Amino acid sequence: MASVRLEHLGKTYRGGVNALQDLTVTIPNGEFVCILGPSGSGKSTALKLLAGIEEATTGRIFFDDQDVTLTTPERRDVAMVFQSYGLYPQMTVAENIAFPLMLRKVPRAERARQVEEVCKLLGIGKLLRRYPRQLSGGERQRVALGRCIVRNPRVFLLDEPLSNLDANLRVSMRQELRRLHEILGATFIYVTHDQDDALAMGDRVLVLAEGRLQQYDAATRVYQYPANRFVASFLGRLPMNFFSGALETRGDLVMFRNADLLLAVPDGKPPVTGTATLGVRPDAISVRSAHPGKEAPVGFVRWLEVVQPDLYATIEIGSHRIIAKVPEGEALEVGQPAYLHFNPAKLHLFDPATGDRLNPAPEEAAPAGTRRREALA
Amino acid sequence: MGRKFPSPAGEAIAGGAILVLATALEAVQVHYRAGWVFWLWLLAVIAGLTLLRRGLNGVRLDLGTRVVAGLLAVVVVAVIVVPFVLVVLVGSFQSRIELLSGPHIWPTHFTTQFYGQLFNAGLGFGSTAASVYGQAYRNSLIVAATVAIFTTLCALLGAYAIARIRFPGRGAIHSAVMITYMLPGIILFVPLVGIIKSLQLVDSLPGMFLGHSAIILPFVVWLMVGAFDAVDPDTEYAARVDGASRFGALRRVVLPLILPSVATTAVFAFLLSWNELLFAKVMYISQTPMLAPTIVNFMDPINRIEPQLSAAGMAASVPVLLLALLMQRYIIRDIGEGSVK
Amino acid sequence: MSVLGVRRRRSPSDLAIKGEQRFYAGVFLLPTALIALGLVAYPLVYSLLLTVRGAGDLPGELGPWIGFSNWTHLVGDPVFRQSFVQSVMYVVPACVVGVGVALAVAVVLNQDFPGRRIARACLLIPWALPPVVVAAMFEWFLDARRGLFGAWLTGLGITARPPDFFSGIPGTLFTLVGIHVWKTFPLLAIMFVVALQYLPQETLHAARIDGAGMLHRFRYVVLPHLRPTIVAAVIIELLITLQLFDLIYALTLGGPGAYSTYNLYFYAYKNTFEYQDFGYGAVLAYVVSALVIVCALILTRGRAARSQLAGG
Repeated sequence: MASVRLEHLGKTYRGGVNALQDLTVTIPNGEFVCILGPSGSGKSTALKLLAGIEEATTGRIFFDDQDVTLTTPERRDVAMVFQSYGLYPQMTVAENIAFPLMLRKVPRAERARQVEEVCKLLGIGKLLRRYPRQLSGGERQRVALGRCIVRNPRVFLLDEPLSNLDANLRVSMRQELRRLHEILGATFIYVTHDQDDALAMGDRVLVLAEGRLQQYDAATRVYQYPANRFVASFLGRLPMNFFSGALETRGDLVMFRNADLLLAVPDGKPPVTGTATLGVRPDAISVRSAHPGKEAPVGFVRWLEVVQPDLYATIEIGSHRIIAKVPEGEALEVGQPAYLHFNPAKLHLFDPATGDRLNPAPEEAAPAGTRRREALA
Repeated sequence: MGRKFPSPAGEAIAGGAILVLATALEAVQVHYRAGWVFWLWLLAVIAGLTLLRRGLNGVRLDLGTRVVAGLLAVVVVAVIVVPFVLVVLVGSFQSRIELLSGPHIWPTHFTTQFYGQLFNAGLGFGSTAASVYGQAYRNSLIVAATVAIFTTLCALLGAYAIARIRFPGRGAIHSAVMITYMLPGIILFVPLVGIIKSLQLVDSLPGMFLGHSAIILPFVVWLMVGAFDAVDPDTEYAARVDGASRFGALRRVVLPLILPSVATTAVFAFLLSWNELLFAKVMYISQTPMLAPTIVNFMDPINRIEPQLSAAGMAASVPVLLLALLMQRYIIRDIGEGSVK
Repeated sequence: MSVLGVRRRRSPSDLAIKGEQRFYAGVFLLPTALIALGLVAYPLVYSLLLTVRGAGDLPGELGPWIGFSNWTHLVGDPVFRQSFVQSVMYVVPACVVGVGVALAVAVVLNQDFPGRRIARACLLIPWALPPVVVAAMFEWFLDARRGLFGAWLTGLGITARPPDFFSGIPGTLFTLVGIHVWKTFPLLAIMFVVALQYLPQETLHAARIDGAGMLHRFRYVVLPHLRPTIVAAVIIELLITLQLFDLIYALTLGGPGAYSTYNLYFYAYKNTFEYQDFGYGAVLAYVVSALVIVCALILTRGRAARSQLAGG
C-alpha cells in the first residue's frame, strides 16, 4: 500500500506528440481513484508511466515519498491489469497466478497455498487447471486480478479492464472490484473512458483531456460541480445544454440574460457582470405544457426520446434547442408549445474564454475517501 | 555480481571501460600471439556488455538493451558482409599479387582488368573461359527473366483458381501443389531432359526455359496461393455484385492488392533460375553456357585466377542483389507473413 | 457480358452457378495445368518407371522390365548407407545451429536502434547470392594457405597454423554445414523478425511488471509465442538441407577421400549423371523425395495435432 504523488509529470512521444502535460496530483494511501477521459486524453499514458513501461519526459513519480521515476517496472512493486488481460497463454490459470511467486523463488507448497487463497477470494477455484483460451472474458479478468493480488503490491493499476465485457458483467464486476478494494485496502488507480465506471467506483475521479488535468475531486463533486466546461459536457448521460449570454445584477440577484432567456443565478458569488456561458443538465430542466406565465421561457416541442427510465424532450426556443426532462404524468406532443422550468440550484456558469467555472462550488461536506452512496442528481 | 555500483551511470561506465581496456589489451597481445588472451577477451566483452546494458537501462528506459543490441547488430552485419566484401567485391578490383597478400579495405592498385577479361573474348589469361562467361551471363539473364515472367503469370491464374474458385478436385490439386514444390528437382531431371531432347531443344535457350519453368512453377504457384489467401475475398464479391465479371474483378480489385506479392514472387522465380546449377550444367553441351556452371568452371584449381573468380562472382551477384535491395521491404514482409500463416 | 445486353444486377447466387465455375476454373488453370502435366507429372511417373525398368538403348526410352533389383540394391549398398547417415549429419546441425542463430539474430534485430532497417536489409545478402558464388567466396576465405580467415585466426593466436577446412574427415562436412548455415540463417531470421512483430505487447508488459527480467521474458513470453515459427523454420531448413547440392558440387565433389561429404542428393546425382545408371539414380531421387515428404508431413501434422489437443 502506498500513496502516489505525481509532480509535473509529462510525456512527449517521438515525433512531438504531447500525450501528457504537467500532471501534479497526490493520491492518498488506500484510495480508489478513477482516471477518466476520452481517447487521446493521456489516461493510458499516465498509467504506463506509473507502471514504468514508458518513461516520463518530464516530472517525477513518488510512491510513499520514494522517487521511482527511474525505477524499472520489474522493481517498482506495482501490479497491473491490462485491457486484454495479458495472461500467459501457455500456462494454466494456477501457473499464471503463481508466476510472480515463482519468479521470486517462493517454494512450491507456499505458492500453491497462496494461489488457492487468491482463488477463493475471486471465486475461480474451479478454473485452476484450465488454459486462458478456455476461459470467458470475465474469468480471464479474474485470473489477471489474481495474478496481481498474489503479489501484494504497493499500487494496483487497472487499464480499462471492463471494456471488453458485456453490460451485465460490467455491472457485477464493478461491485467485485470495489469489494476487493475494501478487502485488500490497497491503492487502486483505474483508467477508463466510461463515466459510469468512474462515477460508480471511484472515491475520487481525475478527469483528463488532451493530456491535461481538468479536475481532480470526489466523484459526486465532479458530477455536481464540474470545474470547467469540458468536465461539464463530458459527464452526464445526456449532453449538457449550453447558452452564451451575459451576467447582470438586478437588485440583490445576479441574472443571466441572453436573447431568449433570463434566469436568476444561484447565490454562489459569481463575478457580477461580464459574458458567461451557462450550463444546465437536461434533468435540471423540466418541461410542461405551456400555461401562460410571465417568466418561464416558452418554446415548442420538437422531439421526444426515452432515455431510461425517463422521457426527454427537445424544445426549441428562439435559436436554442434545449433538452429537458418530462416529469411523470406530463403528456406532450411534438409541435405543441411548452414552458421550461430551470432548477436554480443546478445552474453552472463558465467563462466563455477559458471554460473555467465561475460560480464556485461549496466546500466539501465529507472528506474524500468516504464511499458515497448518494444518488447522483 | 551484487549491487556494487552506486549509480546506474557508474555501472554503464564500468562496462564501457572494461570493453575498451580489454580490446586494447587484445590489440597489444596480437604481437605476441598468445591465443588464450583471446578467450579472456571474449569473457571480458560479455561481462562488459552485461554491465553496460544494466547500467544504461537504469539511466533511461531500455537504453542499455538498445545500445547493446546495436553493437551486436554490427557484429551480425560484419559476419554477413565482411566475407563478401573482402573476397568478392574488393577482390575483384585487385591485382593478383595483392589479393594473395591479405585483406585490404581498398585495393591499392585499383584495376578493372579482370572484368574486362571476363566479358571480352581473347584477352589475357584463360581467354577461352572469358568469352564464355559473357555468353553465359547473357543467357542466364534471358532465361531467368523469361522464366520469372512466364511462371509468375501462369501461377497468378492458376493460384487464383485454386484460391478462389470452387471446382471439383480443388483440394486434390492444392495438395498436389503443396507436395510438388517440396520435391527435389533431381527427380524430374532425367525425363525432363528426355522430353527436351525429343523436342530437339537441348543446349538451347528455349530448352533451358522449359526446364527451369518446370522446376520452378510449383514453388511459384504455392507462393501465389499464399498471396491470394492473404486477401479478403469480400472485396472481390462486392465488385462482382456490382456487375464486374470474374476477370474484371480480378483485374481491378484483387490485382492492385497483390501486386507487391506478385513482384516478390517474380523476384523469387528470377533468383531460382539465375542461381540454378544442376539442370543448367546438364543441358549444356557447347552452345548455351549458363552462369552457375560457368562459375564452377572458374573454380577449377588448375586454371583458377583469383581476382577473375572474384570478378565473376561479383558480376553474377549484382543483378540479384539489386533486385533484393529494390524489393527488400516487400520480400521481408512476404517471407515473414508466409511463415506466420 | 455485352452479348447478354443490359440485365438485372447480378446477385452472389448467380455467381455460384456450377457451370460457370468450371468454365472459369478451366480457363485459369489451363496454362499451369499444361506445364504441370507435361513437365512435372509426366516426369514424375517416368522416373518411377525408370526405377523398375532402367533406361533403354535410345535416350529417352525405357528399357524392359527388370523388377525391383534397383530397390533391393539400396539395402546392400554401403555408399547409400553412408550417404544417408551423412545427410542426417548435414541436416541436424544445420537445423539446430541455423534456427538457433536465426533466433538470436532476430531477437537482436528486433530491438530499436538506429540502422535497424539497414541491418535487416543486409540479411537478404546471403539469401540472394548464388550458391556457387558463396562457394567460391568461402573456398578462398577459408583457404588453408592464403585465406583471410586462417590468417586472422593465427594472427589472434587462436590457432598456431591456419586450419585446413577442406581436408578433414568428417571436418570438411561440417565446414560445408557452416557455409550452408551462413547462407540460410538470414532467411530464418527474417521469419522470426516478422513473427516477433506480432508479439503481444500486453503480455510482455505484464511479465515485466510481474518482475520478469530479460531471460525470463524470453523464456515465458517470447519463446512460446514463436513456437509455430520455430517449427516452420525447422521444416524449411530441413527441406533445404536435404537437397543441398551446389555447395558440395562446387567445393568438394564429394571428397575428400571417397565419399566423406556425400549426401543422398549428391549420390543420386552421381548415379544419374556420371555413372549413367538412371534406374538406380531415380530410386535414390525417390528416396530423397520420400524423406522430404515424410519429414514435412510429420512436422506439419505435429503442429496441427498439437493445436487441436490444446484448443478447447
